[in-house]
Amino acid sequence: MRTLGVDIGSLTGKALVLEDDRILAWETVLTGPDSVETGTTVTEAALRKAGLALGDLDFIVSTGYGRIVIPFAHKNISEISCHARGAHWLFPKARSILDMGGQDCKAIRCDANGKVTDFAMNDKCAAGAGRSMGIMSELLDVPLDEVGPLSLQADGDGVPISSTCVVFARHEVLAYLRRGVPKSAVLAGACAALTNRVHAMLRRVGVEEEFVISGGIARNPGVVRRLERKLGIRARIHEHPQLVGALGAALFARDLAARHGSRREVPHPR
Amino acid sequence: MIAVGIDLGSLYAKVVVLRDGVVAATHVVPAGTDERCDGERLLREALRPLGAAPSDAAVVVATGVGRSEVAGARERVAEVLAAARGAHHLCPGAGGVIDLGGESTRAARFDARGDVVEFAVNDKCASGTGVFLDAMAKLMGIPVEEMGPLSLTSRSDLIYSSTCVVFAESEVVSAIHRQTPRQDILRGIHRAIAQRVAGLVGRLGLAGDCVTAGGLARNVGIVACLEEFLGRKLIVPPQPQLVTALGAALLAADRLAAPSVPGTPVPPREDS
Repeated sequence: MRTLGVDIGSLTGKALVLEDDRILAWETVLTGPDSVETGTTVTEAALRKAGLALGDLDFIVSTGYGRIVIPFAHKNISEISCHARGAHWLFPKARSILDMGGQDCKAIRCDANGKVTDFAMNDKCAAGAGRSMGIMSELLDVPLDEVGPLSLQADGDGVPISSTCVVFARHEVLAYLRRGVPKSAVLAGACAALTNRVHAMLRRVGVEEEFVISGGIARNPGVVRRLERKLGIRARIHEHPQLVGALGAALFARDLAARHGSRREVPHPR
Repeated sequence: MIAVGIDLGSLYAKVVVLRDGVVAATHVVPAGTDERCDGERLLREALRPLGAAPSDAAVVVATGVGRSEVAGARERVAEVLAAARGAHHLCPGAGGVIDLGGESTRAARFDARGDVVEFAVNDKCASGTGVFLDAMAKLMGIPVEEMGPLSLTSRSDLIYSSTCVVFAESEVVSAIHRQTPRQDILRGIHRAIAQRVAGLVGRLGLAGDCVTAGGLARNVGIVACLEEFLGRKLIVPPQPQLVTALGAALLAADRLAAPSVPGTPVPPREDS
């Protein structure tokens, strides 16, 4: 059976092709202003890699904030469910999941079947989302991938960033730079501030072993290491943490096809 | 006798000079990025048109986020107290002031003497503040002072749903890509700001006439949207950004009229 999960996030679109228990191919693209176009582009690219066409798929599930508008999806499922499903499939003992994307952050608890039992979410404030790291990366002219590693070169948590709002934190950061504070110390402060916010959210739903981090933030060791230190447990992270949502969607698609039959022969609702 | 109010805000420094109780000079300059705006220099520049020197100023009262930086201030007061005093002076029958500042929003209810009874502040989140508007002006490539008048031509119900400035920016970018008419986007931005401010004001429960203060009150689009959300007309003074500095100057004049030693309460003021 072949299914596809497509996850339209605020910054990137992800598509993943699943054949039974095997990930056949995946692709990510930057999200454009048109979610339909982003979904189509990323799906076509993933299918090309898998050597398949849309008609070869038994079921397609969309997720992410742009999930409702994807015309070729047979069903859309919330990204919270998909992240839990994907994380649980990768790490069967997973009970707590942190997913942080560009514009939101979710702390999720799931049961032994990967079903969501509780969650907390921030999609109101950039200070508690991945975008804050993007802003610091631009402000300090440090590539996003280097933000975390550089922050770990500083002593502890560097200089404190006291502003809640990222916009105000920019002034604070500029003031530090003018005073000659090294970039590593500023980034350490920014990573620590984000960690504290995430930690507070995780505490609301409770953290249990195993703990999985998904989404782009999982690639930032400056936040991951600090969070692990605060929680006192190691995080499980897949080598492509940003794909967990699309993977979960593809797994739900597999379940749905098994239960309700393949949609392969059914014309796609365009 | 010269009494001076200095309002050192996050974006601008405002000075109001009162001579014998009448506004004799005003001075507005960008607060600069070096975090330390020289109070001495501000005073000197504000007094120059009067041919007066800082030593001629009998009392200086400082307010605003940078008030602790103003050297030579006799007193430092919280922004709401100064804004309420200024609003009460400009509009003696009013019962409230909404101060729409660069990095914060304040609303205060005050009594018949202009003394604050209750207030609410947002200084944690840039949403609904001047920096929000500045960010959007930059994004749209429109001078900030043209945003208000342009937006008035729209009747759109569009509103940017994101609380956060950072997220609202991406919403606006999407709207630009979708070729949403410029005036509709602008109105959507103003509605987003007004909704945030209205939330703060709503918690306070303002009664009676309400005066607007702060730089954002110069944007007719924001004021119009705020009036829609609050369901009432607002009073916009000719130079709303000076209300708080005026209030500080009036408080300085009060001290002149009734000199007090630190630690003793200021006696009740006669109403004008």
